[in-house]
Amino acid sequence: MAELGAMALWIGLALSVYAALGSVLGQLRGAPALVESARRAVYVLALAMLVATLCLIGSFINRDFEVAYVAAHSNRAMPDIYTWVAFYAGNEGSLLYIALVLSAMAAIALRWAPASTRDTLPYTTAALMVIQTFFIAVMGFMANPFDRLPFIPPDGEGINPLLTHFGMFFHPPALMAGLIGISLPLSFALGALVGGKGRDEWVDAGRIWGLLVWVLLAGGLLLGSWWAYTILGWGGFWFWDPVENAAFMPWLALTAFVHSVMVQKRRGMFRMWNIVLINVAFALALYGMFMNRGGPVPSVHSFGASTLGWVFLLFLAVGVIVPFAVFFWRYGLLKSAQNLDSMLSREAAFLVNNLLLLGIAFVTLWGTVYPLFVKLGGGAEITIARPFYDQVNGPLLLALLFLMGVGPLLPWRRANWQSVRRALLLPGSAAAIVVVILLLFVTRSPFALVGFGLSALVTAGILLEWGRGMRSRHRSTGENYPLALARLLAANRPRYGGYIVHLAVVMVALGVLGGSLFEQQRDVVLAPGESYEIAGYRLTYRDTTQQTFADRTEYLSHLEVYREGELLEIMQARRSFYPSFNMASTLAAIRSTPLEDFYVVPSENRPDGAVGFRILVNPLVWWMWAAGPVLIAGTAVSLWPERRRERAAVSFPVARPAAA
Amino acid sequence: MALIIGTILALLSLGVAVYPFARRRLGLDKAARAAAAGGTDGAETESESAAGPDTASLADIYAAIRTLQLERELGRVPEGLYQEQLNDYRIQAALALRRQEQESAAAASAGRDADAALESEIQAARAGLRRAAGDGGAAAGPVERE
Repeated sequence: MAELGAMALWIGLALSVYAALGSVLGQLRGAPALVESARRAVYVLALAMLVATLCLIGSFINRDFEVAYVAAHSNRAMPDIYTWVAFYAGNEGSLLYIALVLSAMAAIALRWAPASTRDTLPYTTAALMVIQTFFIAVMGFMANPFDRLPFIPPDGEGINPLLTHFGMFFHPPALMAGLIGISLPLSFALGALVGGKGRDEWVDAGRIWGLLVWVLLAGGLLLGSWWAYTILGWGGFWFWDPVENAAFMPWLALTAFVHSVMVQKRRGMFRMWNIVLINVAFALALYGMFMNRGGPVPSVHSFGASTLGWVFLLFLAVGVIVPFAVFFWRYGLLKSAQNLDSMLSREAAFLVNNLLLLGIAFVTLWGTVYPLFVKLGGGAEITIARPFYDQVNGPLLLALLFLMGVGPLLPWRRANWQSVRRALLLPGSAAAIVVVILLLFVTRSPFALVGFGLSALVTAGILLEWGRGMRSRHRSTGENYPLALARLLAANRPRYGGYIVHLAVVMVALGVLGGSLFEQQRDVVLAPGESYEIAGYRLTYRDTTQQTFADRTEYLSHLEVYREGELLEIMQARRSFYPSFNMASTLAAIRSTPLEDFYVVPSENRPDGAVGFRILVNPLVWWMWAAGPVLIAGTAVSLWPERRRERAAVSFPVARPAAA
Repeated sequence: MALIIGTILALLSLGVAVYPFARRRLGLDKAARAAAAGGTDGAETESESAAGPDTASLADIYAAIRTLQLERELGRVPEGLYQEQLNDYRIQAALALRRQEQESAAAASAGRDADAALESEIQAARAGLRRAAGDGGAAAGPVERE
């Protein structure tokens, strides 16, 4: 298996180099056969990467410990179900996963590229294949997943205990696919620019791939938060860890891009700005990969002891310089077709939204790299933690929420104040009612009042928009209300898909606000039979059972949760100790409802049977996890292709010239 | 076993890469023949959708008009602004249609030019053959096909 995997890697390297060179040479020399040959090489490359991947997975399943990577990331005690996780648990395997995803995405993108990109597709192919070549070459020469040990160890070292969680099946793959997937819109943009097409030829492909990658990153970030919440044992979901930030920043830049590219598609504006945004998103994605692989900041997410840092730093430098060099080279082609008609328009709202998103990205970047600069300057080792991000990013995120409420109510091109006031009246009233209720009965925290008020503004605005549209369609067509709503959505998919995504963002905002501002936390030690009361709940600790496995000792604590004397649930919280890693992992017991989470995690098992517990009551966190499917559904609606024959019902009074 | 599968993979890669050249050489590539006859490039025509850039821009204008109509129905755009913007879009759509038709006409004209050129080449070849036959030289030239 390993020999075949290694062969597939080298074949893949040859194919990617050939595809990169062949597509450019073929285009420059006017040799269509060479261009086509290079394009077909991309398809076979995807097959080669698939073969290599299957070989590595096969080596895991066979527990072929002669393969160094298999020995380092699995053992005989590892359940087979974690084979998929073990595959990308280390540097080498994750690089192979990235190469597989990029090759598959490239093959799909090139096969079904929009007609408007066909002239410049060879350059797009070349850009994609240069990136692909880098990853395969790093594997081939520096981090080969098929390297063999000089001996066959009797057992492997085992999988990192923190990775034995359901979320790990999706969180790392989604994030890695999202980060590398940014290469797709970037390559379409670069291809168009190099080919001298500076208008909107690449925009459809850029938007589709931008949205797909965006939802992958968003899903990956949410799953990562869920993983941290349930397994890391501190009760939170976001730590502003440098590597978390490294995935968050490209997502922010991409969020700006998927908004801004709509303006280019609709109005032919922001052409330069969109190129800058996608370049920035790609640079931040490369920065994320650099941080993961031997980056200078240690993190729970990074692949420890990696020596690849400098290679990725070099690639980061190239990945920043080359796209911006192309941008400046073709700067003259990028003049917008239209100018901004008014600052009171949807285009202007998108622009401000972009600036806020980039502002948050750069604040986060600064918080991540500042400790490095201090360290490089000979200063003391410092950490930028949550208070900094709360103070700086908190207001920016609230401003973004405000814009999410107001922006969709503005028409394209320009509005007048009267219509804006009218559009804002009901959503604004809903927000005011929520603020007053909170002020009277719940909290006086300004952050909470503003946050929940703005969430109400956004939600009310969207629901009213749907209601008005549905009523209007019902009046004009006579369709019943549900049908009218369904057809309204179907006829305006990007718009209404976007609204669904906005609702998902509000759900995330509710979770973040509730979990951050109203969390109650206690650390207690309970002997069997003892109880503790918090926020109206009574927790009774019954006992702990201990079970020994080949790789770990597992402590399972049995708990009862009561409210007003009534038993709500019998819960089990787990703490496992892995001697070979000298590491404990926990799995929290969570009673989750839309109102609040009751969360218990064991932190210490004492010899006398007493257990140290961290108990939390986290309001509204449930909404964060429920937002995931809504987010995916909204993106799917946005991306669903419209039928070509659909036309606007409008007459054209301008005389059409007779055909020659 | 691994060596066999690896070799098959390598040969498959080579075959796929070489195939476009072989297809051209053997004259199997319809697109390439079309390109040689003055048509478009083979690699670009394969699986190309019928929609060209102008059609796409027309589709975008239709979408913009639909959005404008929706915004008017939702009360976002006052009547005056609606009419003004609708007229702008109508003009853009009409210009796009005109451009599309001009390009279609130009393409048709180019096709007629290519036909005429081909016809004159055939006539010249026939004349050459007749001359060759009249000179009593080797008359084993290419068989005429129309």
